[in-house]
Amino acid sequence: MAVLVVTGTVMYVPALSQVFGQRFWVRTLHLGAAAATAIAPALIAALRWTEVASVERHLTIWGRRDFEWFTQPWQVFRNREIRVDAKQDRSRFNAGQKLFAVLAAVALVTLLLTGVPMYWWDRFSAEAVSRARDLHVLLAMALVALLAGHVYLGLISPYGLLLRRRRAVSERPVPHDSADGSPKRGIGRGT
Amino acid sequence: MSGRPVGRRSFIAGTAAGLGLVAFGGGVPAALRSWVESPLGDLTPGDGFHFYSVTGSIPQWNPGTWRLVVDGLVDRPLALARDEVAATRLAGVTADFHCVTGWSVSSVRWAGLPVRDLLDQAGVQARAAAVRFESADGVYVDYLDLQTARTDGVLIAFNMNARPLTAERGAPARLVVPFFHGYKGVKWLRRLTAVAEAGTGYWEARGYAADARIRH
Repeated sequence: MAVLVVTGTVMYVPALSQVFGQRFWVRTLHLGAAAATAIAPALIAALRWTEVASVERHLTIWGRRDFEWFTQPWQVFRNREIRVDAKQDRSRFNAGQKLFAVLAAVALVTLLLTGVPMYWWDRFSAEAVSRARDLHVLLAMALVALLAGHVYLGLISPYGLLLRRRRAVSERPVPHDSADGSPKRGIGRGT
Repeated sequence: MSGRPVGRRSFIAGTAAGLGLVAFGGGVPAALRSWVESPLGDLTPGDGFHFYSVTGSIPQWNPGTWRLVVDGLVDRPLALARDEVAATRLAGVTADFHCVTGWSVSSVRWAGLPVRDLLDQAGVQARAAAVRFESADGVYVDYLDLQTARTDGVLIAFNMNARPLTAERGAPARLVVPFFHGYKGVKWLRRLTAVAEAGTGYWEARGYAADARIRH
C-alpha cells in the first residue's frame, strides 16, 4: 500500500515527477504493487477461507448497535464507546471499523478496476480512459485520507495509547466485565 | 450475530456506482476531481500538463550551440541553429493534448516547423520509409512512417500557447502529432533521421500500442 501511495504521488505531483523522472520504473513499481494488492487478499482468502469468511461476516452484518454508534460519531474521538443494551450480541468490530472496511474495499476494488482502462488505454475510448483516470485520482486521494484517519483514530484509541506507552499491544480483545457491557477501566474498543 | 448484510450491499452498490461513473459519468468524475484538486495549488499541474521523463533529469541545452539535425537517408543533411528557426515563419496547430493515462489539456496552441517542410528541405531519399525522432536525453526515441510524418499538423514545435516551450514541456523543440497520444511527442528533440524501416519507440518497446491514434 505504501508503495502504491508513494509511486502514485510521484506520478501525480509534477514537481515530484520532475525530481524522480524514471517514469517507466515508477509506473512498473506502481503496477507491481497494485497486482500484489489484488493477489494477496485473494491468496489469503483461498488459503484461510473459513477465517476470512468469518471476518467478512463480522464486517458486513450491521445490527442496531451499529446504527446507534452513528448517532454519536464524535464519541470515537473521545475514546468512548456508546453504551448499548447488554442483551444485544457483541460484534467483533464497531460500526466505524465496519464503515472503514466497506469504504476501503470499494475504493481498492474500484481503483483496481479503473486501472484497467488506464493500462489498456488502446482498447477504450479516450473519454472512458479520462473518466477512469479522474475517478482513480479521486479514489486514491479519498483512500489516503481514509487511511490517515484510520491511523489517527488507531493511535488515539486505547490500543494505540497502550502501544505507544508499552511499545507492545496484546492481540487479546479488551476485557469487558461490567454488567452493562461497558469497557473495563474505561478502555474502549478502538476505532 | 444478528443484523443485515449492510456492508456487502454497500460494497456492491459502491463498486457499481464507480463503474457506472466510468461508463456513463460524462463530466462528473472530471468535475469532482477539479473540485478536489483546486485547493491543492502547486501540487497539481497549473497548465494542465503532468511532467513525464524517462530519465532522471531534463537535458540542458545551449541556445548558441544547439542544432536540430535532420540526417539519415536524405540528400542534404540539415543542422538548424536556434536563430535560423527563429527567423522562420512558424506554422501553427491547435489541438487537444491527450495522455494515454487519461489526462488531457484542451486547445493547446503549438507553433513550429512542419515536419514535411523539413523533410522536403533535406531531400528524403526513395529508400526512406520512416523518420526516427531522438530526444536529447539519449534514451527516448520514437518513429513515424513517412506518410504520417508528412501529414498536416505534424510539427516540430518551438512554442506552446504563444510562448517558447519551457524545459518541462520539451524545450527547445518537441514533436507534435495532434491526432496521436502524447507519448509520440518526443520532447527535447535533437535529431530526425530518415530510415528505411520504422523501429520500435520507447514506450512501444514497453508494451504500448504501435498505433497511438486517439480514439473518440
